[in-house]
Amino acid sequence: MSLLSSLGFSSAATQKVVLLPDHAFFVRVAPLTPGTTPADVAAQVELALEGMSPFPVPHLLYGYFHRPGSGRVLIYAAYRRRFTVDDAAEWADAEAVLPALAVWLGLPPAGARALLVNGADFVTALGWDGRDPVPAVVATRQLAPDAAPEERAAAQAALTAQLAGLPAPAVVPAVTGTVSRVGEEELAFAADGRLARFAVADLDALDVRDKDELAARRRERTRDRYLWRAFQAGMGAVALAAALELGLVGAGLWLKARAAQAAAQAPAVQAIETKNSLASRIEELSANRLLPLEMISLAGSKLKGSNIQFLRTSTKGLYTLEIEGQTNSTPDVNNYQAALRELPACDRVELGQTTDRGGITRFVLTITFKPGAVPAVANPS
Amino acid sequence: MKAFFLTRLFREKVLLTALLALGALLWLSSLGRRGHAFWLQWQANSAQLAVQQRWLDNRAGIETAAAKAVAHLDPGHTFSSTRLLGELSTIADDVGVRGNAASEILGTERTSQFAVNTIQFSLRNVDWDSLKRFYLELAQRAPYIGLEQFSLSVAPGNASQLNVMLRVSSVEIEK
Repeated sequence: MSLLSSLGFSSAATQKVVLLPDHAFFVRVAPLTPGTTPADVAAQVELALEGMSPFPVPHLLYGYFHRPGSGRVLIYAAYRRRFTVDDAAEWADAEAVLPALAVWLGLPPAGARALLVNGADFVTALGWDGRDPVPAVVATRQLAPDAAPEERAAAQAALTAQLAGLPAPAVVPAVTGTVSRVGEEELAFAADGRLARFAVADLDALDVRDKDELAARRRERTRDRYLWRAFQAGMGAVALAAALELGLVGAGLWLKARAAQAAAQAPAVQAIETKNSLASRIEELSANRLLPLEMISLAGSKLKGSNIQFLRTSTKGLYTLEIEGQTNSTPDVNNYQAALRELPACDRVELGQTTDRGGITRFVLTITFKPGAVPAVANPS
Repeated sequence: MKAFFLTRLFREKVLLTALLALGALLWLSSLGRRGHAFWLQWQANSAQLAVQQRWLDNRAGIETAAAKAVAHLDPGHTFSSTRLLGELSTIADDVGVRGNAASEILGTERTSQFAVNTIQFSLRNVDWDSLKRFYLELAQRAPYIGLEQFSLSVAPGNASQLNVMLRVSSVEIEK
């Protein structure tokens, strides 16, 4: 089980990183002007490269390592033509292209220490003085791939001499070109049993590829991240819709069962309703008779002295009488309405549609009597 | 899935995202419409079941009230729709307005214990006294026969004659 998987990082998240041999680069640790902001570091790196390299900067592949507050910057550069077009084509889909030594720069700070990194055809020395996260010493020696152990030992001894003043170096094997993504914003390497971590944003500085190309890749990555999140949101919406669809199907079945229950008990309920309605009607026939002639007589009793004639009367329920009448004296209508209101049995009188044509006023009066107030008489007049 | 998505061309990513978003939007909006319809159906169904339950809960009380309503009625004096029709004709005959009468059976509402029959009865061109006599005769048949609706109008062209429209109901107790 690898260190990454033992730390819980899925192998599915492993990204391709191209690690170039250290000997392909010349490496320098350059001091920074005090107060240099991270934004100015890139400019100072280019300035330093122009001073130390025999080639113009556009002909170089370079990267650098710096931490905010650090007083120096580690710069590495290689002549662009050291790498073939085929090499560059292989880099296109890589998450990062770094010299192998860059991996060790992501180790957590651990005070003064030194490393001798054994690659297949190189040995690299890195030394930290404990005062700055950027190594104070970085040097590399190229070896033949089939170099004898004595030759490698001699290279290591020469590099150890350069680490004078630092603790005795630990000899570690070089890291191979794989990396795991930790979350969206971080990459992690397994390096000699330890974990070297880099923020994705910092990798652009470490990466030796063309800086404009990297900026374009960064923009593309950001765009892809937003697109992926939109896609995820879409997937979430589809999943939600599927869950709701299932819920709706279930709820539909439940509602169907309830509708069936309502339909099943409808005849019984209808029978009860009918019985209740008929019982009320029989009760009305027995106890609350409709008394239309008595109501008409009562209403007619207030006609004395007026010219009103009834044209049509009809009952609305047990206690309401609607009268359509006419008169040739319009004030009679209001006087009659007022007279009806004085009847003790009368609850209210409402004047409806009233028209006046050719001297004849036609009107509709709705009289509501108080329940039980109209007496049944043997001979309505 | 992520690896598959991220390795697509930009236009494919946009197309996939747009298609997914469109599909999700259409599906969710369809769900919204159907969910609203379901909500309305559920509310109507709940209301219907609640009303039904109230009736069922009151069944015993209604049965008792119905039995009480007809308890004082003599089944021998109740009227079927045809008997009611005949009775109204008899009264009209007695009053002397048989020739002015017309009637129509409107229907019967029936339970297992009793029924209520309804007839529309009209008298045309009758005078007030005849109408009054007819009305008083009818009133004597209460509570077996009763008036449910009454409409009176002056006959066109003759103010002393009246047209009457009655809706008459009778109780019929199942023997």
